[in-house]
Amino acid sequence: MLFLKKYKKEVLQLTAVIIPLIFSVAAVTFKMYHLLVPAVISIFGIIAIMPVFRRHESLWMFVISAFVFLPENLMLTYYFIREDIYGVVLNEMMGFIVFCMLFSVEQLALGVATRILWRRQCRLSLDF
Amino acid sequence: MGYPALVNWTAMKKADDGRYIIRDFIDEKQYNISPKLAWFAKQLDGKRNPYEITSSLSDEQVTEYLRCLDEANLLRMSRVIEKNLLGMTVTLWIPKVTDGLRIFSWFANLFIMVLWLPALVLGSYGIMNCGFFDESQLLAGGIFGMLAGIMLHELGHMFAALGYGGRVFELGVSLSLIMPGAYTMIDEKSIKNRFRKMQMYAAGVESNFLLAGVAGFLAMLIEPCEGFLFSFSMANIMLALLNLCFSNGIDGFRILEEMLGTENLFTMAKRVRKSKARRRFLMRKGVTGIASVAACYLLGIFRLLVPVSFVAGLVEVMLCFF
Repeated sequence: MLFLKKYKKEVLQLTAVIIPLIFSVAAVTFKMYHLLVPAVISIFGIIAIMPVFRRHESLWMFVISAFVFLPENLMLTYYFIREDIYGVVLNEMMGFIVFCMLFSVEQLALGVATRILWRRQCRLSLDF
Repeated sequence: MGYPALVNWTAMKKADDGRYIIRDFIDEKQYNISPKLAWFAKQLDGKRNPYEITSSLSDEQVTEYLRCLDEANLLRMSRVIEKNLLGMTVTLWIPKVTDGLRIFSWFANLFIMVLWLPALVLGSYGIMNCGFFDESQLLAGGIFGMLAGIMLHELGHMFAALGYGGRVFELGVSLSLIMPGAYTMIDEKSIKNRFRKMQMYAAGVESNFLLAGVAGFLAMLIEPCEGFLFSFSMANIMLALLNLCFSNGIDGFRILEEMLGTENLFTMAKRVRKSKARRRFLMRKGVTGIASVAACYLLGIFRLLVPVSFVAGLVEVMLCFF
């Protein structure tokens, strides 16, 4: 609660992430895959507009897109392993590998685009 | 290589005081040596007996020089770099870097960088238009595709590194029971620009996509080899996708490190996940700190990728027999 009070402005800005999330969930639920285009555009738009993301665009793109495109990744993973051709255990493992591949590829594509758009960014610092 | 040779991941420079500085790029160490030892070290190519290089050095002096170099890990006796119970790492090619090779590499890198996406799109179209093919060609196509893909992948890294003026020491293979593969030994610090570095890491994957695209397109045109080319293409796509994963040491992870602008991301993320104090410290930085912690946890998923891939491969091999 204290955190929310302290960073009220930033947290409010973060709620804008709901917009691409709605597009993404709608794309999977109603099988309207063209809605992924506004989902991607809205992520870039939000990152460009909101001051909270400034200088950390790549990091935020990494985190936001991981959650926003989770429904698509899960759906595609299910699509790949639904026929159960490998047997139960192997199927789960293959599903995990496919999920990791999808996640990595989309993150890299979006990340490179983010780096090209916003060249001057702060380094991600995880030091103590 | 029957005689000792100076390791190829070094560079020599004359210092102001007349002595020579020999720099080891792998261990990141440098040594100050006498001009005579520097000259002697340069002559060690693995083909000549060190005791017969010159008559101006006595056998005792040569033995002493060899001992000095060996103590600093600057000597190698064979093409095998590392050997243990599970496998070994062998040097295949030490490229002689000339201006011609650099120019060729620059063009090859540009070719790969520009053409991989159109080739992949065209290849996908070709694969989708494939008819029914001879299944007996699939295994051969997969094996050849994998071998050609691995080779071109490493060459892609080499072309990019040389094209951008970087240092390439050697290309080799790792013959291991757990994770066999190939490698290109590059001095990553010799390329400063972030985008060039990202392209250097991505060049291998781009080469695989290019090869997959070409094979996929040919599969549509050459009907008798459809099965072979289809499998060839698929092997390269799999290779590219696996290399893009965010597992430690894999190309995708290195691109991510450059993208986020941090070194040792895997270790740092692990530390954050394990230490509550670190997490608290990051969270005190505000919402960006929380995003950093979230990114560390997201990367944690990929810890399982290598063991899961290994077990899945093992189960698949076992299923072939039962």
